[in-house]
Amino acid sequence: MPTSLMDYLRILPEIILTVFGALILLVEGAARGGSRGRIAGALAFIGSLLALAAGISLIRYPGTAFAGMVRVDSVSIYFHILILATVAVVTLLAMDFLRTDGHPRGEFYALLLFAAVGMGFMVSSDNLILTFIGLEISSISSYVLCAYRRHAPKSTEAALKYLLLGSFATAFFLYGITLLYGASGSVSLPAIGQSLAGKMAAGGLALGSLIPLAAALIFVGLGFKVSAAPFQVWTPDVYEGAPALVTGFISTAAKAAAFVILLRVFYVALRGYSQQWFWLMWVAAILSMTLGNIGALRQTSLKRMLAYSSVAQAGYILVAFAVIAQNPAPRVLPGHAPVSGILAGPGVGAILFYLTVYTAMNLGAFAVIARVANRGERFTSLSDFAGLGKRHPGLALAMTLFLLSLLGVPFTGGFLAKLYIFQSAFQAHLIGLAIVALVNTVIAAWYYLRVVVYMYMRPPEGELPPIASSPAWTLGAACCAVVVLWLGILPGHLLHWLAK
Amino acid sequence: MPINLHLWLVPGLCLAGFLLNLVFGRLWGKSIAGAVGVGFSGLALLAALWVAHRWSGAPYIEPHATWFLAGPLRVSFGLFLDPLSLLMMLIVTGVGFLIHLYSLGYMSEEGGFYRYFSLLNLFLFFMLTLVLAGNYLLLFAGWEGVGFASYILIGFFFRRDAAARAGIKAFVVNRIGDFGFLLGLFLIFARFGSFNYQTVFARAATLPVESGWHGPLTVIALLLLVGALGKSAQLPLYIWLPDAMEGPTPVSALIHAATMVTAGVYMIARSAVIYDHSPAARSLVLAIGALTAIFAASIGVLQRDIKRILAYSTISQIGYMFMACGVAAYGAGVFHLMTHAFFKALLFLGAGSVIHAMHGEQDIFRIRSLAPGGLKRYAPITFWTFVIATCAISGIPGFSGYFSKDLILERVFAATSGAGRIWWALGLVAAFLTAFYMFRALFVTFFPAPAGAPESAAHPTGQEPAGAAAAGGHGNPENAPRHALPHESPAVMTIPLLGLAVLAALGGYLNWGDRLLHFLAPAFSPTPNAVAYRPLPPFLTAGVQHALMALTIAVALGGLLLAWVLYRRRPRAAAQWAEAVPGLYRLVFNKYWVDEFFDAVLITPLRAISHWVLWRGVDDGLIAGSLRGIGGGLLKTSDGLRRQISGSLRSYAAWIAAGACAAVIYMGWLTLR
Repeated sequence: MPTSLMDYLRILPEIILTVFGALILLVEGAARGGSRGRIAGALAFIGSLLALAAGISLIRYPGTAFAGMVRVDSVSIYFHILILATVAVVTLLAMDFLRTDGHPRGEFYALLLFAAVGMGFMVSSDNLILTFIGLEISSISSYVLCAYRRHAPKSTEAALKYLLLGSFATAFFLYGITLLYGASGSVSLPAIGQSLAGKMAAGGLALGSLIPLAAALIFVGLGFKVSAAPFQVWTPDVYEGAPALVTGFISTAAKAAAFVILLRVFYVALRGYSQQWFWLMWVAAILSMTLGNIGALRQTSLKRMLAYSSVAQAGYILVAFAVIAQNPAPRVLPGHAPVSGILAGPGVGAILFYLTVYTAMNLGAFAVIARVANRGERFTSLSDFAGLGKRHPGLALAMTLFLLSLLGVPFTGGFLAKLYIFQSAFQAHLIGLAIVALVNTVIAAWYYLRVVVYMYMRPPEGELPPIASSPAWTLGAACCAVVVLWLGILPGHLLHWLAK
Repeated sequence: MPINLHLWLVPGLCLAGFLLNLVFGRLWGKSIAGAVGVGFSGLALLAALWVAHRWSGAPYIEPHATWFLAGPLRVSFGLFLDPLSLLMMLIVTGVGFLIHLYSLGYMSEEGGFYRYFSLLNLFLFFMLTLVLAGNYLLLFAGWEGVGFASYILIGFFFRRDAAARAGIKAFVVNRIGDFGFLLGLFLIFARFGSFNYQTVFARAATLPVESGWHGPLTVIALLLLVGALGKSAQLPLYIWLPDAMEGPTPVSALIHAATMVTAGVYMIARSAVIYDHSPAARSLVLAIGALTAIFAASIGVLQRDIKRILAYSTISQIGYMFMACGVAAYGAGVFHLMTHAFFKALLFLGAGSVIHAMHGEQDIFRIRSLAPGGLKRYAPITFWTFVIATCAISGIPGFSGYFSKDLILERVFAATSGAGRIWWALGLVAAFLTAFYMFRALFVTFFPAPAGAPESAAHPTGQEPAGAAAAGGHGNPENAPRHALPHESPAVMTIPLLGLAVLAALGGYLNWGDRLLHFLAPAFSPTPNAVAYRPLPPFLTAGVQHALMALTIAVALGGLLLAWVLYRRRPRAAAQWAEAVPGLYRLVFNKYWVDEFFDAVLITPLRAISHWVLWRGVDDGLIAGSLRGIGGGLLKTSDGLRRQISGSLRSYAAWIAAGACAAVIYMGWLTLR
């Protein structure tokens, strides 16, 4: 099938990001002196905004591109918007952080944009090979970003661990794809789904027996990416070692993109086997929530604590995956109605809402940490946050908001996000799972609120160097805070949109 | 598509005033805080008038953002305007603005000026949300909001123990009512699948009228009634309102007389369609209204604290409004709500002016002894406006209260027969008592003591008044400067008095020729064309009507006359009467010991259970104990887990491999099974 202009239009966000990424590298090489980082930052911001605009405009051009490799549907548009907005906010947050820390800046932004290219393909790919390539583009950029504080041993150690374990997990993922191809004869998700459905209808389980194995292996690979237990072991070390903003980025946007792959592979291609993979999700959800929350209780480093917390958050989202396994039939098949389709199923809306809120609140929390940590990220322990409410009321207030939202206190987005997940679990009669999730929320209160207690009720310990003002950071953090509050008080807009 | 009325502006402006004073109030001084508070309530009044001017007369829905979605439930911030909510909006903003203005003078010597005005604006915002809501849930949000504002304003002088306690009491008693209200809302949703007025009423209208107490609409009506009883301080949930007088007097005028306490009446009138389908629930509304009217009026007869007299009279007057709703004369009830808002706000502001003049004294007999020659000499404007308000509430012909009270009594008479007339008779007696105790308050407060009057008229028990001065409504007594002689209030306080006096005197003529009833009628009927204005039964001929009217007038004048005799002509008689029936006197003087009864039967046992069983036993022992155990266990587990995560790459890979093995084995087992 010959490619048309429309095909390129449907990957316009990725094209823009690539062009700007390359442009940054070129300009960075040519520019000299003080203007170097500034131009790169501006280019990255403009590029992400342009890509965001392109992503939004895709709403008018749903369909497939490149012979069905790329699918522009409601999910891919939605996550393009989410990921690109995250990139834009991270660019803002990073502008001053990079300068005060004395890092070269151009490469950072270029890597950020390239990672976003990978994520873009992850969320819009309908073809497992393209999915794999997207996953690798984003992962490799992330590995490098983790090592960005390259003089700090922790940072390079984190990157190395991430790289080795990530490659290990990718191998599982690739092996799963191979088995799936062997079983169905295709790497295209809708084709796999049809082929498997046909085989199931014919009762031919001889070849189908490979499918559950493939599902297990793919789940291992993706479970690693979303840091679901028991594949979460790398998370604390990597999240702690990587620069706080990079952690903020890979724990939100990269996770969201991986969750979309999980959704597409299991919900679209492996729908017929939902009774089998339901238990994978169920066990992983319970393990992630419990291990994540219990692990977070005794952490003294805030970054490590939030790493465990993000494992637990992944667990809550997996609860919703168990829900959609119970209700496998979407009202409209994804292949038929590109802009409504996949959202129709129960639980899917809850996943999207949760990921949106989670992205805003987690990124916000890491943004505050990056700021308090100051030069060289020296101040990331709980005791460094003691008395922050007195010294930096604004930062403390923002941190409180993000933590309360992570905990799920009413009037923050986190509350409604949890509510919708739990509600969908109850509706799907997954009472046990819902109760475990509720109990876990209670456990989580201990370590989230402990930070608030430290910030407001403990006297400051030792001297902290002053925190330089940064308008760009303030703007970025304000975006996160506004989203958290907006979705907590007036979720109606987004819910309405999701329901459509 | 009708024109956009921008209805949201009316509550929105009050919210803006609240936020501005909340954020900046501490920074700018008293004058700006006051100007912002009064200014935004005035702007809200202008916006309300603007809306009224442009409104076409057809029910108007202003959809706003979706509040939330939950399953089939979609709740929006939709606002709604019909004759009923228009009238309520104008009452709330109009009276609200005047009271804001009055507060400028009254609160000028108090601390927390900006806090006061921001809260007063917040109250208006919630009250307007309540009356303009387009669905029951938003109404409930406003309902809870005014409850909160009321709670926090009653306790405005939070350093005073009595004020803080009164605030809590109001909140807790209202909570009992809200519980019923919430259950009613759940039933509405379960029955009609929506909270929207239009949907609910349209569906309810298609159901048959129910007989007995078990029909779904009857149950809904009864549960809503429980909520209304709490909010509107009716039997048996009235006990919070007298204590609520601990708040600043303008707050009592606005919240506990003119607007919030009548929200129950508004809600019942709004739910007219539901009550129309349940004669049983309506008969209960009628009975409670009549009993409350006479019960509270009888207590009012012997009270000595001017604000408490007014509080009991408020309870009693709202009883009349309930009576009207009980006979499906919602228009008459709302009419009385309006006139009551005028004259009761005026009475409270007048009382505030008196208290202001007397530097915090609230006992009417002591006021008389402290103002040589009668207070009317020192505060003529306060006096004359108080006279107008007293005439209005007593039902003296020509004044506003006369029209509405007469209308209610007539409707009750028309709708009942046989033994049911007892409610009408009770209403009539309550009207007599009202005239009596209001003129008693007027004569004692403003006139010099007649020759031969006992220094501090009879009160054998004598326990009540002692605290009145110390707990004076005029703010913190320490703050009140002690001048030698009483004085008239400043213009900023007397102008609202004059404005309300005009309304209290002439407000009744708004219903000339039943115009107000006709105007309101569509609000009580679900379909736009149905005639909700009920024709009178045939036996109510012009002759009977005139006879009833004469009876009402006679009763009012009789009350006036009795008060005149007892407190001007024959001052000893009152004491002699009291000594003749000491038991009855003590019973009434102590307000039938209702508070003491609740205290002994409910509160003391509850406290004991809370303390010994719930706190010491369940909370401290069971919950805290087990939490300590579980928490400790979790922390130990966390430590153990931390040791497992060693940082070694090989162990991590082993974890992942083990997880992968488990997944593969499980899935393989599924296949081979």
